[in-house]
Amino acid sequence: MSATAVAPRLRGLRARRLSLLAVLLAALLLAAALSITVGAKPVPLADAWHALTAPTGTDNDIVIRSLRVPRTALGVLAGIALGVAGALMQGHTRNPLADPGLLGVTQGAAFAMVTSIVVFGASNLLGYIWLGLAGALAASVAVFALGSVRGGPGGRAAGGGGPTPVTLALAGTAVSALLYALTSAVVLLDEQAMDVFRFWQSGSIAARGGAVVWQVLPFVLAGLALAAANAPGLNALSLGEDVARGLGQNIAMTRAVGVAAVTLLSGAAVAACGSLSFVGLVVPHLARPLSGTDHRWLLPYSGLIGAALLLLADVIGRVVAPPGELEVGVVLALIGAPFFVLLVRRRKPVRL
Amino acid sequence: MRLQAAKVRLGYGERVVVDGLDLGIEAGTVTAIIGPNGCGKSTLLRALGRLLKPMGGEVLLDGKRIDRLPTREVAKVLGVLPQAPTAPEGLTVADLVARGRHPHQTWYRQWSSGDEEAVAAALEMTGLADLAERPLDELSGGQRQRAWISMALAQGTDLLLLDEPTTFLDLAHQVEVLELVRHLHRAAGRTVVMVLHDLNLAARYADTLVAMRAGRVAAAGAPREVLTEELMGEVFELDAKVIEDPVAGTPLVVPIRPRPARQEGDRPDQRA
Repeated sequence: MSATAVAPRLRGLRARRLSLLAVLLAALLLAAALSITVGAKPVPLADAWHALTAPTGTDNDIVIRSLRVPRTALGVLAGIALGVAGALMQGHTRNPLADPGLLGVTQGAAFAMVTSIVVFGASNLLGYIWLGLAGALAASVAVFALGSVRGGPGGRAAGGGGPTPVTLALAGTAVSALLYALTSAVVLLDEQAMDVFRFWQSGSIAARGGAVVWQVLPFVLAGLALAAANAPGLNALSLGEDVARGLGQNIAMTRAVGVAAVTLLSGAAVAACGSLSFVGLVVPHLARPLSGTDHRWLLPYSGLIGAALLLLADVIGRVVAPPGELEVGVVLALIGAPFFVLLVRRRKPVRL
Repeated sequence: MRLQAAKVRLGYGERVVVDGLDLGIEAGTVTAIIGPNGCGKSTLLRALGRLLKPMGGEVLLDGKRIDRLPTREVAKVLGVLPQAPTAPEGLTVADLVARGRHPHQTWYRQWSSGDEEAVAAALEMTGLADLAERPLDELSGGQRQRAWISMALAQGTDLLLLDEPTTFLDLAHQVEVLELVRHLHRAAGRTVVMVLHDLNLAARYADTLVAMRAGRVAAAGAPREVLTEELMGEVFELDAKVIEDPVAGTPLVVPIRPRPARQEGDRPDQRA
């Protein structure tokens, strides 16, 4: 077989991956259309279009523009952020059960929010979100720093490669447990903090308003830029540290960029929507069979699937228990958990 | 001198494995590093490939200190394949080989026709073109090792460091991999340094043997000069007869018995 025979096949593979990306994008658009039209007040697609393009102040226009659009936009942002963050996290830790919460972002955000309520009397949602984000960033930095401490003479990977997957996971678990304990203590002592915490913890994209979308958007965009820059390095790193170094990759830098991306993405999502860690855990497992192990494809696939999944779960939550609504975090857990068990049981666990 | 270790001191943490070692690799040669378990041969190879930073001394690539060159530039001339590398599950041969192009890609230019040609050529050369779409875990041990070598080839370097490329392979696959190495050397004049366990295959496929013992070079030179009965006793503590390989004419070691007293300076295998 000559060299000319392999090249077209490699090109064919790329074309297939590109067209799958288009399919996923279409699925996300469909989910967004559902999210805009379905709900306590169903809106026909034509009216929805009218509201989006030429609003005239009808009831439907108001529902769409002030409620459904921000809700959908936040769902898309959080879904993309959590999907990408989950794939990054599983890649960096080489652990198929890792989720972004492993970096301590969820507990960091929770602790910062309840503390700020008690200490500063913070009262509006926007205030919480800033503090939640700050808490998520601080927790993640602490985990990264702790995970980088490499003591003892036995450390074979000398040369300052930064934290290893194992030290990162250990530090993340320890910091999360500590923050969780502190949060519980604060919440027990303060009723107002308890109320906010309960609401935040279940995970929701409803009634956040357009301002929240604009607030988290820059963080998500920055996180996505870092994730894109991180993908090739992560590909090299997934072949082992020695191979990655041999390919000219700076290991410590790659890990640091990855952790920064995960922190920004999941920190923004968690601060705005509460704990939706299931997205980050499950979505990469859905994306991987379609994309393969190349992170340059896995990350965008995970983002699109994450957003579509989050929106669909949210739509389901709106229609299953009329006249009330089920929070999207609850729906995700109710549908997601059995599904995940099935997934794990039917396919052999993935080694990363 | 393509690659040179000058008075290198190597180790992990506080444990020194290699101390004050000098070694030069000539351009266009195949060098095999041999020695008993724990003698520091893998450690030396890792240092030559800048995977391990020396505690003292220096490693020179084309006369320049390797740790002062940008690692990505080094990756364009020097390829390293560590011992028994692992890949994520489901990774296809084509994807693995494509990752060899990493040092040639920038964040804005992830794939070029040059990359495509290099990958296709590497797959052809290792005879894996027909298996390009197959996941790595479905291949035989020999095919898998060829896939990893193929990745190193796609990297497009004329200097290749291979750490025990034949571990875990049966004899037929060992010969298959070494024939590939010889082909790479003869067809494109690549310089190859590899750590090998099998002395007879090392003698057959390398121009130069470097025998190590307890972190030092015990002997270096043409296989015929290095693989002697004295050296077998001295380095491997093995009573052996060295005869001529009836096929290749290179030295062939026939072991008789281990020498009874193991001496100080032996270390347990660090890779255990």
